[in-house]
Amino acid sequence: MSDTATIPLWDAIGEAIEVGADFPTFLLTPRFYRGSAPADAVPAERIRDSLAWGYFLLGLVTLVPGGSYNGETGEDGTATIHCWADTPDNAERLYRWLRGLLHDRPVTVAGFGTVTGQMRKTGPSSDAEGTAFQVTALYTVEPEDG
Amino acid sequence: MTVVVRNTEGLKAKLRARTVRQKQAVLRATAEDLKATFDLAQALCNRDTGFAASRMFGEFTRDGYNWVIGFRREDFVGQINNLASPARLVTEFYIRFVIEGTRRMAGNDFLATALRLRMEARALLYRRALQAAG
Repeated sequence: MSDTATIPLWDAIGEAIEVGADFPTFLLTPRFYRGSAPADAVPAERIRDSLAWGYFLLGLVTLVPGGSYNGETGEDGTATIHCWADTPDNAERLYRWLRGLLHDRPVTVAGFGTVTGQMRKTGPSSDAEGTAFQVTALYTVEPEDG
Repeated sequence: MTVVVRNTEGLKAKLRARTVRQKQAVLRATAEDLKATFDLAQALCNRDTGFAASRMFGEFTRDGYNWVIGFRREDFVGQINNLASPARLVTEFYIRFVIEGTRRMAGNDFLATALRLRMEARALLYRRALQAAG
């Protein structure tokens, strides 16, 4: 998985995040990263001083029955989205904001057309150092005729 | 602490089975599904030295009608990774962060992916098992 890979589902999610209104005030710029975030995505002083921050990591995309993403259209596609923040509550706020943007809303995904996605939470967790917290979401889209 | 996925469809199939033969067929279906899902999870697992993949376990539960696949903390922390060069002590249950992700790297939940990718095949196995002649 590369942060430069062209993945239509990532593009659709990223576009929704970029233009989404009424966003949490602690949402950083950039608002999201594809696959991985650079080491300075959250400056050290933010973590040290516990200033509120958050961003999204767009992760694993699987297609059924296509398996792991290979650029081919499948019956449905599921992307994992990691909502990272400095506190569990802020991570939850990011998730709820994103869910408001995408859950049961039509989006256009190259290779799928206009689809309506479903989002569900798969669980909170923390980073190895215990200074960052995430809520992980699965966002699944199906073709309108599927 | 564990990171696992489970097949709970086998016990459901057993409850629908009407004959001993069908129940035996369900047990065989569970065994076949465990092997296939385990192999798929192995194929999807991140590999550096191969240590994590070597620590993946798969076990039957519920008298063989269900199964669980995943990792146990005690199979990592305090163990020696002899596949690394040089060999090194494992101090973290790091597979959890490989699967769940970190704030720098999105996760690769290959266990859930393997479970999900085999969903239709698993359902077919159990349907056929329940069609076994009584």
